[in-house]
Amino acid sequence: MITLLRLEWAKLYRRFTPHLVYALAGLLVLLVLLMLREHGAPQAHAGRHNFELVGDPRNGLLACQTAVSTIAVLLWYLAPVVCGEILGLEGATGTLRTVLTRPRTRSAVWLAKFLTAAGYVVSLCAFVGLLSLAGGAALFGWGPLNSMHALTGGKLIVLAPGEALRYLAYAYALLALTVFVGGSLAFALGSWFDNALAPGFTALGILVTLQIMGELPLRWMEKVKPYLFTNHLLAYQKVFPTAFDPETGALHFPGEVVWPAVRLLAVYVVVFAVLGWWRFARKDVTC
Amino acid sequence: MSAPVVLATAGLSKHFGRLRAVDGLDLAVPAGCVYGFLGPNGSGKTTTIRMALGLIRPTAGRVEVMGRDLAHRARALAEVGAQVESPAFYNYLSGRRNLELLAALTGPVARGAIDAALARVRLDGRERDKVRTYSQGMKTRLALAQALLPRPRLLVLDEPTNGLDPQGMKEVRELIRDLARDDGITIFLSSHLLAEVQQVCDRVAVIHKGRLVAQGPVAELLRGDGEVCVRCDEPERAAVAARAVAGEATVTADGLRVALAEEAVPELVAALVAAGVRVREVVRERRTLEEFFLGVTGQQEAAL
Repeated sequence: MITLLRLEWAKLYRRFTPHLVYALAGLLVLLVLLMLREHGAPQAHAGRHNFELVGDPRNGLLACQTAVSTIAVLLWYLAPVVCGEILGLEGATGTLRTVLTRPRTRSAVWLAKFLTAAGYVVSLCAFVGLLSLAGGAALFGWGPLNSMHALTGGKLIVLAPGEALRYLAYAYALLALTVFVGGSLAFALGSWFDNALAPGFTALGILVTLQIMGELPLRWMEKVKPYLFTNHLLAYQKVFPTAFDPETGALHFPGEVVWPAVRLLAVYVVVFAVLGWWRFARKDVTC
Repeated sequence: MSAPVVLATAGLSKHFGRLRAVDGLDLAVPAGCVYGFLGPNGSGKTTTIRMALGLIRPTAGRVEVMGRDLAHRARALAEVGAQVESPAFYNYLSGRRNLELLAALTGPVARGAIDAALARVRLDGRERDKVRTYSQGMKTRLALAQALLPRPRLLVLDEPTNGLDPQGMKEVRELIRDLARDDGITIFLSSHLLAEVQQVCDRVAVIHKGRLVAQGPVAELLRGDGEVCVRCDEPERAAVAARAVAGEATVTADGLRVALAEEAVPELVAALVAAGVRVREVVRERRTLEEFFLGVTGQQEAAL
């Protein structure tokens, strides 16, 4: 399996699209940093009715938190294109048949590709997080994080850098999960399509359709909406503490909001993975 | 003792909806031979090869490779090299890198094995160029190199000379003969080029519309209907003498055609000489593979 993973990783990073997505994400991080430099921290605007803010809340941690909110949508839409390519491109070019004439089980080949897709999504989210953190620190320095959401709720929670990093790590991990739901859907569709772009674009079509469905004011849809994964794509914004535990005085992690979303998103990933594997294991390789 | 069978199919069938692409195919490829797999376009050759390599799931029947059921494909394909249809590679990688990646899927590759494979197909010197810059013929050569890398005992080649120039085709034929003769590799060769197959194959199977219509050693299949051609003077007088031995003899422009068993040929020659006929040449007539192929597929067509 290690050999297969190494080979898949090598193939992935020799292609153009994964690098293009990194470049676009990097470009957006730079734009976020420029926005912070020109317009100041969003907190300064959001909290001005409740608090008088003194000093500059901008720093690397704030840049990292702003980036996760701003760039998520790009990752949801671009990562599926890369994930769908991993299988679809091999089907389209015929290399899948060359690979499958080798003495490896289809399940092993599939698993290596699936883990590569997951690894790519994680690396992409980590890239955005680390670049914004480093870029923000370089531009604005280092300091505590003023929780943006607490401000809008009329409370101010200031996270020490160590704690802030921990919560940002949670946020980026959850972002990776939300991105990989679309990614795993596109990857699974790669078992159906012998085409590089069709899996990614079909996944995007499904993603947009579900997002529209989630916005439609239909009464019967209200029961379905909580189960649409698109209704939980913003879950990563909810990991930041908004209150203190009244007994211990410690920051309260909003698990009651986060864990149900994590479970639902994980179920979607598993379902897409099983469907994709089922199809791949039975697929007639005719191209 | 007969050679062990390295590739066998039993009742192998594949239906695509109502189309029976392959229908109850029984093949047996003995070890050490060059086995030609022939059939018209759309006869089911590639579908059969894909089933033999586990790329397509049969509707019915089974495949055994190296005596192992293909259900255990990782073990069954461990000693198999294959090139199926048009060569397919990662165009954004060099020829050498492609070989390294594909070889690693089989297992550790001996040092220098990639260089040796590249040299064998005459691609050394271009191995560091991206595959996207290769001609069709170079891709075909690279496909042969990747098929040779696992050090196979069975080599499955589907139209291996497609895209090659006449010199390249000749080299591939020689390579196939060398691999079988010197390395003892069994070669399962699918080709449209009947002359090519006749030159390199020991045994052939012919399929038509998914069904096996002939299978056996080339020499046996091409043996004519037992006719002997005799070039001689005075064909009419020769025919009288020949009829005394064979019963039937047809006069041709420069001699006779006589339907005769091989062991009776000396008797015929003796009769002709005794009759004072000057015999110039006696040749047992053999069909070409093309004649045989067109004959069996034509018969099958007429029967349907």
